[in-house]
Amino acid sequence: MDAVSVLQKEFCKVNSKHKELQEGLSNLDDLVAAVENNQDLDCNWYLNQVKTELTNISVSHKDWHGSISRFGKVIDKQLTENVSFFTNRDLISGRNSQLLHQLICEHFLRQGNLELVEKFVQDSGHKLEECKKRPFVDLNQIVGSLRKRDLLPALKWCENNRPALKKRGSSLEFMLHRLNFISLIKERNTAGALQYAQILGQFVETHKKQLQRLMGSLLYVSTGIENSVYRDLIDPQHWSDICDLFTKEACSLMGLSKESPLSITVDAGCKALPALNSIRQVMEAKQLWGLKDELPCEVDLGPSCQFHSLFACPILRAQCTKSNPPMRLECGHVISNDALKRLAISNKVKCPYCPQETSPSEAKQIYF
Amino acid sequence: MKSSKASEIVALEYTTVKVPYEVLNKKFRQAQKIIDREISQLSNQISNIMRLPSPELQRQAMPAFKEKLTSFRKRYADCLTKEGGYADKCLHRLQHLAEYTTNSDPKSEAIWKRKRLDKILVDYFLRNSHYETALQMVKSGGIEDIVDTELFISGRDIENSLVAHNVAPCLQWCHENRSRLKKTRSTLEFNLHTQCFIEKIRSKDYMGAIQYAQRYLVESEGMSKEKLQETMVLLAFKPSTECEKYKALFSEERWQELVLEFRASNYELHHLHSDSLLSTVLQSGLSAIKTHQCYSSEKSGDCPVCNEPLNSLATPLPFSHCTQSRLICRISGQPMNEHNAPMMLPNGNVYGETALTEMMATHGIVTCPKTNEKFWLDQAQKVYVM
Repeated sequence: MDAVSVLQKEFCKVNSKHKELQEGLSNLDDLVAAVENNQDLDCNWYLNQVKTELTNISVSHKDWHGSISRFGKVIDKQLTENVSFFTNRDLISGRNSQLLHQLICEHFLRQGNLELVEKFVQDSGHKLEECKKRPFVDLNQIVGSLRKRDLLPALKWCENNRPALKKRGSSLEFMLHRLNFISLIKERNTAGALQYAQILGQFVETHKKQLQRLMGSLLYVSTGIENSVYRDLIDPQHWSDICDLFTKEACSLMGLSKESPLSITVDAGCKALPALNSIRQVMEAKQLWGLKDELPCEVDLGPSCQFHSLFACPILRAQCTKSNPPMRLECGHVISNDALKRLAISNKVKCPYCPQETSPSEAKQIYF
Repeated sequence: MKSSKASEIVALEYTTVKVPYEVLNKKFRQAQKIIDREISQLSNQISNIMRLPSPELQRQAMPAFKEKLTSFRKRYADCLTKEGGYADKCLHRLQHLAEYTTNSDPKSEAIWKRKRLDKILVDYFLRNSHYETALQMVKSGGIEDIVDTELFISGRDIENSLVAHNVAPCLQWCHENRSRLKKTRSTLEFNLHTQCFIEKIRSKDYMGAIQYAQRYLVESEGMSKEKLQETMVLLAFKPSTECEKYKALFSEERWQELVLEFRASNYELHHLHSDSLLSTVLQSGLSAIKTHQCYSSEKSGDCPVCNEPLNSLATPLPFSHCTQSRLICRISGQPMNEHNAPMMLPNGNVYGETALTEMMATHGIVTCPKTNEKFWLDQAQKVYVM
C-alpha cells in the first residue's frame, strides 16, 4: 500500500473518533433538557449524573489525542522530512537569485499572466525590460485567437516573420492555410475552396505531397469528406496541434524553448529526488556525496525531459566522451573507441554482439 | 509508473501533511485546556450546590446552574467544530495527494503538476517576503487549500513589529508556544528580554533596566551565568562605547538578528524545511538534465540547461549519470529506439529513421542539419545500440 493510502486510513480513525465526540454532545443536551422539564428533580442524583458526564467528556476528548498523535507518527514514518540533504544552500543567492527571478518572470510571461509579473517585479525588485515583455503579450493574444479558431492574427504574424520562418524550413504558414482550406471543404464550399487553392499553390515546392492530398479531397466534397479516405483531414486534433506548432515556432524565433524551462526543471527535480533520496544513506555512509562531478545514480526522466543523446558504451558501461567516442563497427553495432582497442587482437576485432569479424580501422566514428 | 508517483509524494510532500497536522494538534491542546478549565469550574459549582443544607435551596440554585451548563455546552461544541475544521484541512490535503497517485489521465496529471509548481513557487515567495506575489498566485492558481499562507502572514506581522522595535507580539508568540520552544532549547525569549534590557539602558533608565533584568532575565531557563553577566556589564557602558564586544550589543543589527531567529524558530516549530523546496528541486532537476552537450557546441534549443539563465545557474552542479544509452534524434527530438531506428549518414552523424524519411518525402533529399551535406535516404545505414 502506498504512503497516501496508509495516511488516509490512519486519518479515518482520527475522523471517526471526532465524530463520536460530536455525537456525545446529545448526552449534554439530555442533561440540559432534564433540568428544564422536571420540577421534582432529585438534585443530588442529577448533579452526580452531570459530574459523571463532564468527567466522561474530558476523558474522551483527551483520548482523541491518541489517534491524532498516532497520525503524526505515521506521517513521520511514511514521508521523508528532509530531502535538501545534497542541496547547495548558497546556490540561490546574489547574482544567481537574479537568474532565478529572470526564469520566474519568463515562466509567468509564457503563461500570459501579466498581473502576476507586475506583482513579482514590485515585490522582488527584479528589473524586467519592456522589450522582453512585449513579444509574449503578442504571442498570448495570437494563441488566444487560435483557440477560438481564428487564424487571421497567426497568418498575419507569419507574414511579418516570413524570411525567418523560411530559413527554419517551417511549415507553419502552410499548416494555417491548410486549416482554412479544410474548413471550406467541411462546409462543402467547393467554389471557395477552389479559390483558396490559389493561395496554397505557392507552397507546391515545399509541401507537394500534402498539397496533392488536399486537392484530392476536393473530389469528395459533395459526397461528404467524413466518409472518404480523407476523413483524417477534419480531425479536430489539428486545431490543438496548430496551437502547439505556433507556440513552438514563435518561441524558437525568439530564441526560446517550447516549454517553460522552469516547469521542465522542477518536474525533472520532482522525479529525480526520490531516486537520489533512496541511495542517500549509502552515499552518506561512504561519504561519497559531492566528491564526484556526476550524480551518484542514474535517473530516467522519460523522453519529455531528455534533450540530448546519452551513449554509454555497453562494454565499458561508461558514458562516451570526446576522447573516447562511439564507433560503429561494419556490422552496425556500436561500442566505444577504448573498448574497440581492448577487443582488437592483431588488427582483427570480432563484434561482441554478432559473429562478424572486421579490422578496427574500418570502424567509423559516429555522432549522436 | 504508479509507484514512481507514490515515491514523489514520499520525497516531496512531508510539509503538505505535517503542517496542517501540527495546527490540528495545537488546536486540540488549546481546546483541551478550555474544556478542562470549564469543567473544573462546573465541578466546583456542583460541589457547592450539593453542600447546600436543604433540597429547597438546591432547587433554587438549579436555574443558574442550567445556564452555566448550557454555556459550557456551547463552548464545547464550538471547540469541536473548530477542531473539525482543521481535521477537514488534513483530510483535504490527503485527498489532493491521492489525486496524483490514483489518477492516470494525462490532462488531470498536467493540471496537478502545475498546481505543484505553483505551490513550490508560493513557498519560495513567502520565504523571501514576496507576499503580494504569493497571494496573487494563490488566488489565480486556485490553490488556497494546499498552501500555508497564514503561517507566513502571521509571522510577517510579528517580524514587522520587531523591525519597529516592538517585542510584545513576539513575546506573546513565545508564550503560546512555550512548551515546544523549551523542547528545542530556543533562546529566542531570552534574547527578546535582553533586547528590552538593552533598550532601557539606551534610554538611560538604569533602575528600570535592573528591575527588568531581575524580573525576566534571572528566571530565564537555558540561560548561562556568563551570558547574563556579560549582559549586566552593559550597565557600566554608554551606548556610544567603542569597546567592540559591547558596541555589538548596542548595535541596531541585533533587531535584524531577532527577526531571523524568530523566523527560524517559526519554521522549525511548523516543521518547515530551512531551505525552500524550490531550491532543492531545481538543483536536483538541473543535475538530472545536465549533460556535457549542454556546455558544448551541441546545444539544444528546447533543453533548459543549454539555455540561459539556467545554463549559468547549473554550472557548479554535478552532471547526470548514465550507464544505459538513451538516444534522442537531433532533428525531431524524439527518442531513437526500435520504433525509430537510429540511422548513420555517410558523414557519421546519426538521426532517427522517421525524421530522415520525412525529410526525403518533403524535400526529395536528405540534408544533414549539422554539415549541410546532401545525401540520398538509401545511403543511410542502420546503427545497433545495445
